Amino acid sequence: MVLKLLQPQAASVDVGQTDGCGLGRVRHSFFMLLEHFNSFAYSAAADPAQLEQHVLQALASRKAYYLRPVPMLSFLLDPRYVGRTMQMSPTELACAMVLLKFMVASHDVKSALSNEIYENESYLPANFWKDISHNIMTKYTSFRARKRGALKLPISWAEATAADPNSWRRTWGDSVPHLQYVSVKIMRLPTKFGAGERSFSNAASIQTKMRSRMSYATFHKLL
Amino acid sequence: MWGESRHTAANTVAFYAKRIESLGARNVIAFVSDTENKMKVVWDELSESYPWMRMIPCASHCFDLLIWKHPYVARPLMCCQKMKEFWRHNCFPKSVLERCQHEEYGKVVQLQRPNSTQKKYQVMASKSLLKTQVAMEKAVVDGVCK
Repeated sequence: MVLKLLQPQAASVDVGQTDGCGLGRVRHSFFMLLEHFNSFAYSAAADPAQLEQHVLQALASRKAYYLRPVPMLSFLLDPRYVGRTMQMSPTELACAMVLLKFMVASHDVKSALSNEIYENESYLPANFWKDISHNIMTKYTSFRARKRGALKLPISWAEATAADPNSWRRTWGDSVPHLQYVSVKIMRLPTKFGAGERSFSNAASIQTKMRSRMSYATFHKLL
Repeated sequence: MWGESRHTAANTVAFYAKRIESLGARNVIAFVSDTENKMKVVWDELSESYPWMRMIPCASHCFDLLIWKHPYVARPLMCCQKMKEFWRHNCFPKSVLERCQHEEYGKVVQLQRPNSTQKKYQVMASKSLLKTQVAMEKAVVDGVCK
């Protein structure tokens, strides 16, 4: 029973081990785990109610700790999860939207200033921020509703097409350029610290008790 | 570790700040690390210096440390690990088990080595133990009878 309970969790660890899959997949794994833990038959346990409560509490606290606006926004912009039944809470949605508007606004301000349309931020017109916010919400809504440009085509949402979110953005994302810019940026963020852990592990096998007087420079070269 | 380079939060912040500056502070948009207490302090310090930078906890660590502390989960896994160590590290039981596996399955089934840091490998190792359960029971009976 313990193994059956832990199997999806062990699979979720692998989600964090693969690069380039995007942080959205991590959010998706939380959904899957919640579903699994809710539907699991705990009856074989010594105290099933207590175990279930512990498991659900642990998941909720880990979720509250891990899920910051970046993974949530990544989930929202991931073509693999558009149209799925999994829904985020209104608070999560609001946090993700704030981040989306912030990222788009900083991009727009940067391009306005670099094109020398305005000298600095204080010269921006009063409705500049409002327009950005309105535009991005319109584009986001049409993206989720699949009602803009090439996104209307069913092939653009086929499972095989959406399997790699990065190439999907490059191919089909032209209809929603702002979202394309934001998602390309956040989907490439790494989800794990595995490379760092591996180098710590290598370091431990180089700097042993027998080699405790090695200089930092030599150690760094060996690493 | 070298005296002045001990892994304190202050030294770690200084190390990462130097690295971030060398990459160009504005080019770094996120910082991914594990979630130990020292790194939380590092996050706070870096967020102060680079407010645009997003701090992201390592997903693998988060999933790995989810529910292992509950005794109902921890005890069976610990028990499996001890069994694994017993069968792997003692020559006589190991040879009896291999003989029994050969009789039972026609081949020697290797017991997977559990990794102490990744709980996922403990699950996989426990699964491999279950696969050879019959041979293990036979080996125990054989060992006792002899």
